[in-house]
Amino acid sequence: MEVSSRRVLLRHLEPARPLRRCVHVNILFSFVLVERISYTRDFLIGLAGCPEAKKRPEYLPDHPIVLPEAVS
Amino acid sequence: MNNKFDALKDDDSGDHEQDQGSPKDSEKEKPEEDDKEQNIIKKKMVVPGPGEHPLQYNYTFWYSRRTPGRPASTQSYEQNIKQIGSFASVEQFWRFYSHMIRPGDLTGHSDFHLFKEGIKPMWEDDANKMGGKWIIRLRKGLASRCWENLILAMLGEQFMVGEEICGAVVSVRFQEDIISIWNKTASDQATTARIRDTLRRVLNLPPNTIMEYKTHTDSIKAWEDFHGLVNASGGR
Repeated sequence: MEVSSRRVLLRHLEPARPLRRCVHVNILFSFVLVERISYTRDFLIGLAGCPEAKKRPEYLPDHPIVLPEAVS
Repeated sequence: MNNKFDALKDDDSGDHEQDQGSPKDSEKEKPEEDDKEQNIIKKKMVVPGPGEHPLQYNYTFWYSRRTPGRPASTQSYEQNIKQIGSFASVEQFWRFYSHMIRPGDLTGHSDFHLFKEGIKPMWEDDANKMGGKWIIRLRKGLASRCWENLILAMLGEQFMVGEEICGAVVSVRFQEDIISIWNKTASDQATTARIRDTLRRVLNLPPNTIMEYKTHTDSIKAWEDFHGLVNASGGR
């Protein structure tokens, strides 16, 4: 009697492996969904010097706080 | 609430009259041209250029200045606030920032605002009305550096509070300058605490720096009490 119940338990445990893999995939998937675009201060400062960052914006109002040339 | 582009026209003409006397005919046409430009900006969705570094959100720069000799009124705040431009990438941000005066070089009662696109820097905006702001008072001479560090932390998503951040403001005043960061939910203490701790870190503030959290509801009430009004329609 004792031996047969252990066999039953083992059979129940076997299909657990693919289920665990499924859970793992779901965790990875939700991680990708909440990922945000973040930058450190140093990285952002580093991009300030590139030529693209110094071009005059296409639409910039004529206003006293707007400078004629880019300043760093 | 007035159309904001009508408000900008009033603001421009007011500034010309205050600072430079009566505008010439050619100058009178500028606000209308500005309106057209602003409408183009509004209609055109800002997107990162090819090869540029996208930001998590698009943002808009605003500028406001209290007109000398004109007392604050229910309409003047919205009339005095001017949209400078919107951007979607790091490179586009630097293009605007590098073409704008630094806060430390501003004179008078002036504010720069940097808010997520679609959120007006006003207490009454849907995104702000349940929110509040952390305020840090700075002695003169620190505003430019602190403002830059604050907005870089916001653009770089350093606050780690999900969608909670609405925008940031630097206010240049007579004896001191003030920087503040606005969030959506004033009652969320975990969020406001995380914003406070991040502020301390990114601004490298001394431990004894006083930081004050103020709900927009309280700001509106204080504004109403000060002006003896029942309904306020201004916010910063």
